[in-house]
Amino acid sequence: MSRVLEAEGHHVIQAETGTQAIDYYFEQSPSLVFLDILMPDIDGYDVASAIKKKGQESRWIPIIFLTSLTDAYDLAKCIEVGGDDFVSKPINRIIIKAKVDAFARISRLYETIETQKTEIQYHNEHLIQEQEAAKKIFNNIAHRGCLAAQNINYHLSPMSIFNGDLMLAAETPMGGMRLMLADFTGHGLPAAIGAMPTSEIFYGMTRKGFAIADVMTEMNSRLYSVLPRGIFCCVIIADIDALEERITIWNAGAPQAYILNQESGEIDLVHSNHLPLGVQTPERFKVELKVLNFSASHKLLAITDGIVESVNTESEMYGEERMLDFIRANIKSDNLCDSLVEQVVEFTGDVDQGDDLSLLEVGFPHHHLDKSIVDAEEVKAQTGTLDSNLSLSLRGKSLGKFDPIPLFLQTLLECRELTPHRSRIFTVLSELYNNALEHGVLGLDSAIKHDSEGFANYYHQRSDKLANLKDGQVTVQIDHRPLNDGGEIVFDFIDSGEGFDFEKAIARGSQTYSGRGIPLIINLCESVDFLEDGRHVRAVYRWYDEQDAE
Amino acid sequence: MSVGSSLSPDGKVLTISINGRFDFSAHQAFRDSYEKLIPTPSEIVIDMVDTTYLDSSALGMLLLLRDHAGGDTSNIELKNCNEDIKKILTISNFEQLFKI
Repeated sequence: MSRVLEAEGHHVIQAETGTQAIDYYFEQSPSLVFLDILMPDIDGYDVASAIKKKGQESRWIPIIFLTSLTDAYDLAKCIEVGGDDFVSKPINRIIIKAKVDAFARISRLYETIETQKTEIQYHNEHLIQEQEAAKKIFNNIAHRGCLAAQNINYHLSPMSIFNGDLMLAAETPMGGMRLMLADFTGHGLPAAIGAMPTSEIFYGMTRKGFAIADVMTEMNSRLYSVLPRGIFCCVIIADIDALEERITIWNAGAPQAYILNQESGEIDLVHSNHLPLGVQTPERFKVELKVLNFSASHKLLAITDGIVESVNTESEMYGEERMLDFIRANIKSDNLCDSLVEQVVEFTGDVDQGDDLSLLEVGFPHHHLDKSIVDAEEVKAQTGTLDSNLSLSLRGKSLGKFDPIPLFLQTLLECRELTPHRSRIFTVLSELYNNALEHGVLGLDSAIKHDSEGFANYYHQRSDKLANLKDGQVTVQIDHRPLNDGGEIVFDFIDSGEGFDFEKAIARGSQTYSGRGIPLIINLCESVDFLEDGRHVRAVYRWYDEQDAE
Repeated sequence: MSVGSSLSPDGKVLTISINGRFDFSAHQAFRDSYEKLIPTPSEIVIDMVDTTYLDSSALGMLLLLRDHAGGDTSNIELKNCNEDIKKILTISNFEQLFKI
C-alpha cells in the first residue's frame, strides 16, 4: 500500500494502531486517510468517528476504509461513522490511484468553496458595517424633522432608507405642517442616494416658505438630472394649514392616500395623478394639487406600496380593498398606524416582507405661530434690510405662475433681528397676498367655502381662473423702517379688482370655513386699514428689540 | 418568468412577451431582447397576455426601454395588460408615456 502511494509521489505516514492513527492525524494533518477496520487496540470505525468529530471543522479530509469484509452491513457502517468511501482488499494499484485522484479533486472543490465562503462572510460583514455608517450619515442629512410631533403616528423600518422609503415632516413658516412620504424604486445604496437631494430640497424650500408646486418642480428637476433612467421616486406631499383648516395634497405615483373624517366616517381618496418624480422632463412636469377641508376631526393616512403589496402564505396580496375595509372599521381609532401594521403582519404570517412597511398617519396640527423657528445655521448680516423699501407688481400670467412670498420673506429676513418673527411675517404676507389675489383680482367669494364640497369647489375655481388670467395686477410695497426700540414694516397690497366689503367678511368669518385670515392679520399687526373700497390694504407690523420681545 | 421576443419580417415592429411575474429577475433577459437590435425597431409592442404581475423595478425597466427607443419620440405599446397590471401602470401614470 505505502509503496503504491509513494510511487505516485505522495508522502505516506503509517500508524500501527488506532490510537496512534488518531495522534498522527492531529499532529501531521494529512490530506487523505486510509483506514483498516480491524486494528490491535481500537477499530477503524472508532478512529473515523473520533477524527470526524474533532478534526474537520475548517478542512475536509476524506477517510477511505480498506477492508476485507464483504458484508453489506459492515460496509454501510463505514460510511455511517463518517468514512467517505471503502476499498476492498486485496488492494489494486489502479483502483487506489483512481480513488486518490478522485478525492484530491473533491478536496480541491471543498477548499474553493471554503475560501469563497470566508470571502462572502467578510464582504457581508463589511457591507453591514458600511450600511450602518451610511445610515448614520443619511439620518443626519435626511433627518425626519418634526415627525415626533404629537399629531403624527408613523411606522418606518430602521433601515428604511435602504428600502428607498423616506418620510419627512416640517413646520411651515405659516404655522402649519408639511409632510412627505417618498418611495424610491430599487433597494440599497442607489435608492438611498436619491434621498439626499430630496430631503435637502424639502427642508430648505419649506423653511423659506415655498409652495408645494415649487418644491415638487425643483425636486423633479434635480432627480431627473441625478437619477439614472429606471430609478424614480413615488411621492405623496401634503400641507396642512391649521388656520384655514385645509389640506393641500399631491400624489405622484404612490398608492392612494386617505383623508378620513373621524366624525362623519367619510373617506376621501387621493389618487396619483402624475408620473413619479425623476421621470418627466422638467418642461413637461405639472403639479395639480387637491385641496380639501381638514379640521381637528380629520386625519391623513399615507402609505408606500410595501403595505398593499404584502403577500401572505397563499401569495395573496393585502391589497387596497382590505386596507379600506380595515380603515372603515377602525376609523375612530387614535392610532390607526400601529393597528394597521399589526394587521398586515398578521395577514402575511411567516412570509418575509423584506421589512419595507411604511405608513404615515397625521392628525390636525396645533397652530404654532407663536413659536419662533430660530435657525442656528443661518448667518445673516446684522440689521441688513432694516431700512429699505421693496416693491413689486405682478400682472396677468405671472400672478398664476409666480409665488412672490418666499422672495419677500427672504429679503425681509436679511435683517437678522426679524428672525424670531419669521412665522408671523410669513402669515401677514401670505394672507394679504392671497386676499388681494383671490378676492381682489379673481373676485372669488369665500362664502362659497361654507361646506366641504364648496371648499373643494372654491379651490377648483381658483385654479381655473388663475390658468385663464390675462389681465389683473397686484402691487406690493413693503417699507421697513428702524425705530428706537425696534422697527416697523408697512405692507401695502393694491389689487386691480372690484373691491371688497371687509366689514361684512369679518362679521361672517367666524361662522364659516373662511375669513380666518383677516382677523388674524388684525391680531398680528399694529394697524390694518382698508382703503379704496378694499382694493388697497395697508398693514403695519411693529417689532421690538430682542430684550423687549414678549 | 421568461421573456420572448420576435421581430416582424420587415424589422420594424418588435414584440416582447413576458411570461409570469415581470420583476427584477427579468432584467437581463428583457434588456437582451431589444438592446442588440440595430437599427432600433420603430415600433415596440410589449405583450403582457401571460404576465401575472408587475413591480416597480419592471416600471424602471420599461423606462429604460423607452429611453433606448428614443424617449419622447418612442413608439411603445403595452398590450393585453390584466387589471392588476393596469392599476399599477395607472398609479404611476404611465399612460402618459406609453400606449396602453
